[in-house]
Amino acid sequence: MKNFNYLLLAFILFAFSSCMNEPDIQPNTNIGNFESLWKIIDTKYCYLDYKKINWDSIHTVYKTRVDSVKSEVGLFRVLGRMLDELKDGHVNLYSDFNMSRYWNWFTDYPSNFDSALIYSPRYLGSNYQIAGGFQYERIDNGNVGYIYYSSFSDYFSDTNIRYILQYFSNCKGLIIDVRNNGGGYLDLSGTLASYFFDKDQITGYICHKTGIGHSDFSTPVAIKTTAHKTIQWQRPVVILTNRMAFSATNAFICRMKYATHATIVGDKSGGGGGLPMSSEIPNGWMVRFSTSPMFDASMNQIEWGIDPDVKVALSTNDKLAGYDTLIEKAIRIIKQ
Amino acid sequence: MKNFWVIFFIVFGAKVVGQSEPEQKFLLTQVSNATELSELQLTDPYLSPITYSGLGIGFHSESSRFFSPDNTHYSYLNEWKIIGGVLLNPTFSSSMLYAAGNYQWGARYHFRFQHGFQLLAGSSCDLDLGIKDVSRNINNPVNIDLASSINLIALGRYDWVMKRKTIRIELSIKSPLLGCMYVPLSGASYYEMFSLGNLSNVVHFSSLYNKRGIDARLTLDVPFKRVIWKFGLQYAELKYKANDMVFNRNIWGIVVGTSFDAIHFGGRKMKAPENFISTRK
Repeated sequence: MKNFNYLLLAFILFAFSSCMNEPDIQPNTNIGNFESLWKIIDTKYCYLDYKKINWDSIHTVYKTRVDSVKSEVGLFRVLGRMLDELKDGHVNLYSDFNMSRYWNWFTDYPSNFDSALIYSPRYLGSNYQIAGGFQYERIDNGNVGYIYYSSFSDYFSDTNIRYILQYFSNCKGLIIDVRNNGGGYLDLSGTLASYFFDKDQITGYICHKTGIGHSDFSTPVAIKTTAHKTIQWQRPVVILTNRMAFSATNAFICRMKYATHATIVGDKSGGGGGLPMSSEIPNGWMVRFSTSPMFDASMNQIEWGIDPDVKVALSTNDKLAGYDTLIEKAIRIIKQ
Repeated sequence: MKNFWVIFFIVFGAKVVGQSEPEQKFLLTQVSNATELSELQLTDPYLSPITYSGLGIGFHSESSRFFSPDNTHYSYLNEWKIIGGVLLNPTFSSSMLYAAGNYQWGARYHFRFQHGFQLLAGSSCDLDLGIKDVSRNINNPVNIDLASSINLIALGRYDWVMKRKTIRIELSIKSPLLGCMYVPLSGASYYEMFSLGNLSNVVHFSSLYNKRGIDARLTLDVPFKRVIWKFGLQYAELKYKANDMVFNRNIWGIVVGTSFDAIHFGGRKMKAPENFISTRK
């Protein structure tokens, strides 16, 4: 009985000696908000080491700037600039009056896209079909199917796809244009890709931060693209990309790189390989940042984008003549 | 004289027959239902490092009954409660929707002391399920609380006898001891966990080392006409740590409800006497 009492006492002492202190919350001051934001990125952002960013020196530089800030708008501007150092389209600071963003991932590059061209009579025209988020029409005298998909936030169903592919049943091949598609739901990228695979295949990996160290990551988990059981397009398919193909679109392109009959044509995609999540600083501003890096099937980072199989730029001469160089190239590839 | 003996034997005989029949005992189920209006404070670092606070409304139902009519020391307890609330961050720029439910089954031993004081102590196991939604978040808008625990439960009861009424004062306490709980990794999205099936490190063993809490309720049972009204205060604090995150839930509330005794007839042996009239008939 005496031993039991000692054991019980030891258990109680052990139990209550554990540390369950909550982390210190910074005060809602300029410095408090700055420190809070800096720490969120320092402990949770996933690309600090990969991008060789010295986050400590950024603390030094921006702390002095915050010291001289006099207004809420000024604070927002300084914090937004600090986040720009991450060069990540998935990083934003949201306040009630503004949203900071880094858009150089596409503004620094040619767009290779002109919406006036794709809605010209040569391509979609004005009487094109719409199903789900897809705008589609037969082009090149009915030899090629063309789909424009502008956002992975637009849901679609198997039925939509079944009708679309039925509409293109006499076409030699299919073009899926995801230029200027800034992303959306990641699971839709897998669903759309599934119609172009004849067997399940690992097309990438994902991991996440497991600790506060810049390189504390979990073991990568395979991202599998599952072949659709009843709907499979087994003819040539060309994916058109540009620098504004970002995030979930980037993930779709990454999957389609491994589809048997697929060719990626256009410019390098915009990247955005880190799955973003949200947090908050004491003044209520929300911050979005990449937490889970994604890789292709060879464990290469896709944060900076994916190179096309065939690199093509939109030619000014073609544009003036009413041709979309990328679509024309895709038609030639399908006809080959 | 003849009439006297006839009446004597009838009365005497009836009394002897009455005494020889065993007294049948019926177990009553004590039921109490209450509505709660609460002030909530939640810290969920998976969603935000900032503490959200707001108001919630809940419903609580409890029933207890002795295991056997021949032993009035051991009773069991069935309890379930639900709560829902809307919470805001300190700058009112973001809101959190919260809904939770808890089911508890436990057994208690009744210690009876002098002067109307009773202590009921025992243990229970419970299942806790909650959902928190910060809709403005991207890829982590929701977090789920899912836990099961073995708890210590105790209830102190004092009957305060007044001139016309007896007011019952009760203080009930529940504290988790051991169990398991689901806690996501702070950097892992629900896409990775549930679409890709990466559920490593999301289930944790819990003990006083990483989960502490107290759920206390102080109530007054006031009989008024045929109803026993229940008024009280509730305080519940729960703190747990896993995956380098400390979660916190504080609830302060006022409780209003009623309490009554019910009898349940079920099974083959427990047949309702003829003088118990049911709507089933």
